[in-house]
Amino acid sequence: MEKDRNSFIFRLLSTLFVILAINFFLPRMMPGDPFSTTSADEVGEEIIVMTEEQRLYYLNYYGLDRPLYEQFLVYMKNLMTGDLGRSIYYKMPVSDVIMLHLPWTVLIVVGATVISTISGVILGTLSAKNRKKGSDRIMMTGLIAFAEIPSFLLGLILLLVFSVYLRLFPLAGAVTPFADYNGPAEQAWDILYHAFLPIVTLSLSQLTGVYLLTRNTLITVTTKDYIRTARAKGLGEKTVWIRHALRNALLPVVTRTGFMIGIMMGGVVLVESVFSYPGIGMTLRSAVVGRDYPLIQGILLVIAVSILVCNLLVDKIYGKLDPRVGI
Amino acid sequence: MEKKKLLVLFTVFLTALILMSAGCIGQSAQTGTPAGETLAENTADGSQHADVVYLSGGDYGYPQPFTIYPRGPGSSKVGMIFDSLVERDEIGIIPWLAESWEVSSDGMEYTFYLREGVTWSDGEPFTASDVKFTFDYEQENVPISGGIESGVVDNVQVVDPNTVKFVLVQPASSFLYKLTSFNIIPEHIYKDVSDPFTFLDPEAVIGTGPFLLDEYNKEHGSYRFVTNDNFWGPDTAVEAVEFIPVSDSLIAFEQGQIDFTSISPDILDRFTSDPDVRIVQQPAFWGYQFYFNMKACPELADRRVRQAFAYAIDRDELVKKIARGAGKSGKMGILSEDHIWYNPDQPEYSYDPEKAGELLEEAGWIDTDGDGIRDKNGEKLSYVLSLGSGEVRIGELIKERLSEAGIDVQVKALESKSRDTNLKNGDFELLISGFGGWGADADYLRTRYCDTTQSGSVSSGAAVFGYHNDTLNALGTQELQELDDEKRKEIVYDMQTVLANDIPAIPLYYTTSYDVWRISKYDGWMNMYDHHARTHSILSYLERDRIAAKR
Repeated sequence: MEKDRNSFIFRLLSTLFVILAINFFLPRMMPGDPFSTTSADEVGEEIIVMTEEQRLYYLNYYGLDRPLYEQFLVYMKNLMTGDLGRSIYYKMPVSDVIMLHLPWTVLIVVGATVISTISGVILGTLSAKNRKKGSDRIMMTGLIAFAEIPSFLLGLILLLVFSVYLRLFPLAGAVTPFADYNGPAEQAWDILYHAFLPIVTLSLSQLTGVYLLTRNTLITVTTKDYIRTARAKGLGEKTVWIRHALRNALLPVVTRTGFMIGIMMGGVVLVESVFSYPGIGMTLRSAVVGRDYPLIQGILLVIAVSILVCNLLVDKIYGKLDPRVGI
Repeated sequence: MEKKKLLVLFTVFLTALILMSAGCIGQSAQTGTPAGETLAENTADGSQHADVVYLSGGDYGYPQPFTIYPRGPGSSKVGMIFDSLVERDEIGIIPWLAESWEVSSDGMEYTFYLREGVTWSDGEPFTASDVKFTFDYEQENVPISGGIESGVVDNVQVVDPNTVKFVLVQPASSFLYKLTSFNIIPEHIYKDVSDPFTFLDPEAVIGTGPFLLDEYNKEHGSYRFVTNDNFWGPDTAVEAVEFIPVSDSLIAFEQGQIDFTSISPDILDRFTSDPDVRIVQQPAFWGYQFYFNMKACPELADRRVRQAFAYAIDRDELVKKIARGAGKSGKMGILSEDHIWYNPDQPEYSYDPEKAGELLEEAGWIDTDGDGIRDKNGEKLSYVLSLGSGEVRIGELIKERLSEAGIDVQVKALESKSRDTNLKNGDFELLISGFGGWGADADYLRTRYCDTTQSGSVSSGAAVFGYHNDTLNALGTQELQELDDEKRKEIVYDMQTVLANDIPAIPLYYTTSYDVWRISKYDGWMNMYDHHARTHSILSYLERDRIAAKR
């Protein structure tokens, strides 16, 4: 047991080290540096073209003129003390930039995870119960067709319909600019109001997966002997479905939810762009465009760590749901 | 069975999508104003005052000279808080913090007489020593924008509290222009700041300018500027300016969330009949340039080959098809026709594939094997054209036109930063890049195309691309030292003629987007003589009287 734990920690640490090394070297292998922009990306955009003198000054200021291995050692050393470095583009500590933007992403990712899991399970159960009937078929085809729409396109459609035409939701942002709130309730409402469409978009893109998984697992599970036993014991249909079938069918759903968060962290970049939502995805995008190495490293690290944590959590929950699995 | 249903569903979805998007852009696209047709001007009078003006926001950094971002309009926000010694209006350079100035006859010394009674927004008096301090401080800590590069000014001297003298290293005719973006920072604040790049305190945005930063929200990209009651100059015509985040500025403008935006010509019709909206085209100060690499491709050093390119590329077609009419085709003298020193009398190159063919034949490029591509000594006239992913359509049109002249081009789309790196390192054959600043002081003809300058500007590419012209170099040296504006203009005219004959690079076209604003909200927008964006001028927000009076 002790040995197992040690090897587990060793594996975790080596995974982390590999991630850190990739995060460090990959961005630096892209052409260019943070100060070499000479072209604008869109018509009318303004850029400040730096002189060579300015460029060298800044490379030196940020220590980017030192050998790569030296920079890596400095990075690792600072990381040990919890220092993620300073963003070149935003001029603030990377941890501050992340703390500003991460909560927004967490809000919509967690919101979308909860909504898509719950509604996916409900729809999947309904579908499995009415298997081969009309409602099952309609749900099935409808949701599969839905899953084929890329999330940014879905976001654009929702934005066009609900914000542009119906004007029910805001066009951009996470809060009303310069708003004066009468109490936290109003503030919470404003935040939810702005987060609604991004959450719906992300949820819809994940819904089909949960739905299909629930439906198919339930269909498999309901043919098992213990379900027949439960029925034979004279338990009500409701108890059979919820206590016996669903509980067993939920295992793969929980695993999926863990992975889903990882997938969504990737997809969130596009969705945030569509809604100009100030989350970590938008920040990552601009960090890559601007070659803001410390910030790219920081955000990728946060994403990697959150995926690792999610996987750990899944293992834990798994243990709770199915006592046979233990770590 | 399932598949069929899927198909039906998909068709329904697609139809819905098409219908929706048609409703959005369809009607206007059909009736869009054709290129060249001038708009009937809205002659109604608009409001000259506003309590608040709302503009499209976005995070461009904390508005002090060291913490703005290099991309986007950060420097114009710095300009709302920090003044420079001289400012720009519609026509030229006007006095600002400096009431007047004198230039020594050898052009080496500039003495500025500063305005009296100017205070910083915290009440401290502004003096000549702030000016000297700003220069000295920025030698140590290079600001993102507005700094004076080394090799221009030798030192700055405080003559008395209201007089300051700049001693130059060598005469530089564009020095006064450089000072228009040299924002003066307060000595009493910054002298204790060892690292201004991390200085995000409220004191960091104490300036002498017309506005105070009331609120800045980095994560949401919003700014709120309010009138500085201690401002020495004309009253603000706009009490407060708010930059608010919008996902699409056109929709935000239509819904009345912002009061000013720029639009594409395709949607002009939505506004032409609205009596409350004024539509004015921007001056042509943002453009695309086509580069030759004469070092990597020695045959391009033959002027006739480059001229053939200028004849073969149909620049009017680019304006019509890509810019949808909102642009002006490139002038081979580099400066756009809206530039104050544009030379209208320069060699013209209209689209003429035959002429291009003749020139190439003269240079010895003939299609000997009948494959449609010209060759010489076994080498084909074939190139890779590098460009950003947003410029692929420009590249495709050019490829088509050049193939008519027997020049083969493969378009290679790159991520923006990779393209810039290739440009800087001379790692390309042909390349397209878009940027602003075409209205700036004509000295850029020297820094970009003369290989005499050791100036470190990234865009001073002549040496990188292997371009060399003795006549141009001589004119450039003269232009830099000529202090008389009229004489200098003559030299700049000559430089344009030389450039237009020689074609070291081809400006493809300059864009002229349409600015639209609601005149009932605020109508005081003006353009600086050298810049395309109206919202970037500080005078756009001020009463046009006294020092800022309309000329």
